[in-house]
Amino acid sequence: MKELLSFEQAPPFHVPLRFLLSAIPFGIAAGVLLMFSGDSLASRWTPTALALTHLMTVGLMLQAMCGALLQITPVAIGANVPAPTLLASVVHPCLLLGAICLVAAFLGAGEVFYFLGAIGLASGLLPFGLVALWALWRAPVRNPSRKALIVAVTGLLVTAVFGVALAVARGGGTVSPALVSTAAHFRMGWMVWGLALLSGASYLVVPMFQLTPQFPAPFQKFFVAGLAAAGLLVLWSPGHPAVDACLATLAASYAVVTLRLQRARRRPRVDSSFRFWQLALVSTCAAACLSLALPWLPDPSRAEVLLGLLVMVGGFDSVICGMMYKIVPFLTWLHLNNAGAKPLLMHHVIEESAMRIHLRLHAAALPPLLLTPWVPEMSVLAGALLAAAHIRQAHNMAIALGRYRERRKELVALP
Amino acid sequence: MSALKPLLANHHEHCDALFAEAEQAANTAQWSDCEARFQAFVEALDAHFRAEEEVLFPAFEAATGMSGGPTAVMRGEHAQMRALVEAIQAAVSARDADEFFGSCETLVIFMEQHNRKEEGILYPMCDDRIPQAQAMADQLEQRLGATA
Repeated sequence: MKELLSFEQAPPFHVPLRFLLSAIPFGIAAGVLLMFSGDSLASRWTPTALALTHLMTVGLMLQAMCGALLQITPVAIGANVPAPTLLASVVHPCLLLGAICLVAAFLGAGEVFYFLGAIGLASGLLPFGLVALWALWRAPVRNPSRKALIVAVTGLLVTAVFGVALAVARGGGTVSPALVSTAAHFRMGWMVWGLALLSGASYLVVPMFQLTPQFPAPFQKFFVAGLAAAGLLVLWSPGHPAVDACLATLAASYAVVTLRLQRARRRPRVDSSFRFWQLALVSTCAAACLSLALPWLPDPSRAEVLLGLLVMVGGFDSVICGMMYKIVPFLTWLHLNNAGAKPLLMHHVIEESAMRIHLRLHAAALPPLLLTPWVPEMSVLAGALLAAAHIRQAHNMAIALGRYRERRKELVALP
Repeated sequence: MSALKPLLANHHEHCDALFAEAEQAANTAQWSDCEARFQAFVEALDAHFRAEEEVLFPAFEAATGMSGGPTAVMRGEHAQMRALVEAIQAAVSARDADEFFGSCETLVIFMEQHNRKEEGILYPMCDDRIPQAQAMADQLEQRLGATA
């Protein structure tokens, strides 16, 4: 009953917003770094490739997903995170500092930055993960979204344990050899954290945004169970080909099912947000197929980079952009409306034409980006377009924020 | 036994279908058709809101002793949706496609998140707490049936 009483309590606007907006500079930085990467994307193990990977993952993806999780869980399953403002004021700076230090360490700032990165990320992720798990566990709604989000947050914490151990080891510290596993770290991150969170959110927002049919009940049930089982297999034997085949099959099945649902949508018009989703789902399909083919490739090192780019930029970056263009305008309208301000409907918060410019820049960045592992000269064009896309995204968000503040000022000025 | 949740969740689905038909008519610039279909949606939505506000919520409040809790939030959201519906009706009258689809965007997300909260939390609680929930479901079915 207590949860029911408080089920309207979405967090204050600034809580998800600070995370969502902080994601964007990491995307710009990734674009700039890419412009100067030269032949560094010939392998995923070069310092530049590692820095780029972590700009996209612990920078862009982690910030955006924390913001989205804090906003979506109260609506999806009634899981109200307690003291969201306090939690965000602790977690947000820790994650920012951790991500910046870790990227600096990969770029040669010094071994101490590995430790600072590990401390920052652990200090942010531990309270965030434990509080989120506690809220999810107590949530009054017991649906597949809740199970998927529990698997996602658990996967995030396990990914972080391996990540912190790897950072400490790179910084010259001593950790258990069992924890120094890049194979477990990235599989747990991509599939168990990323895909579980995406599926848990999708069960809610895909039917909501486009009035599609619901995800088939057996799919919702078995997909989450499959991801949890795959997570355990990753811990048992992360590099085993069967584990990769299992993970790739799950990723492809999620993408195909979601694309089919979107084809059955009842809303006739598609917008930029929908196109971002389509880009993400097609990229996820391509990444899953490539992942299955990797063991048969004679020299897979460049194809591994392609896989990473498909997952991080084609997949997660695209879907995050698509989600933000629904979440931020909706929350702007909602919070202004609840405050009694003059109505500002979503399409007046950020115009479709402004979002379309971002979409075109983002889509234009993908072909040269995906060629970069084999044609290093493409990195300049790909990086410039990726940076420009995120600059345009920042511009669009600034417009939204400016309009929100304007309406709030008008409200205060009322007699 | 669950009686209220399936009935009211099905009626949400019915309202969604009417809303989608209005959007499809607007997409092909068949404004007279859109006007009629949107009016059918508005009538179904209004019947749903009134069934909740006049029958379901008072029964829930009497059964639980809560009048300022979730039902107050739901009533507030109904008022917000009614205001959005008025903005869309103005766009239909003005034959303004951009304003129509833009306003529909806000309504559909707000309406769907409202429905998820009701279906996930409030209706199961109503089924648990309201005595004679099955009899109430039969009564609501008759009221809503007129618009279905």
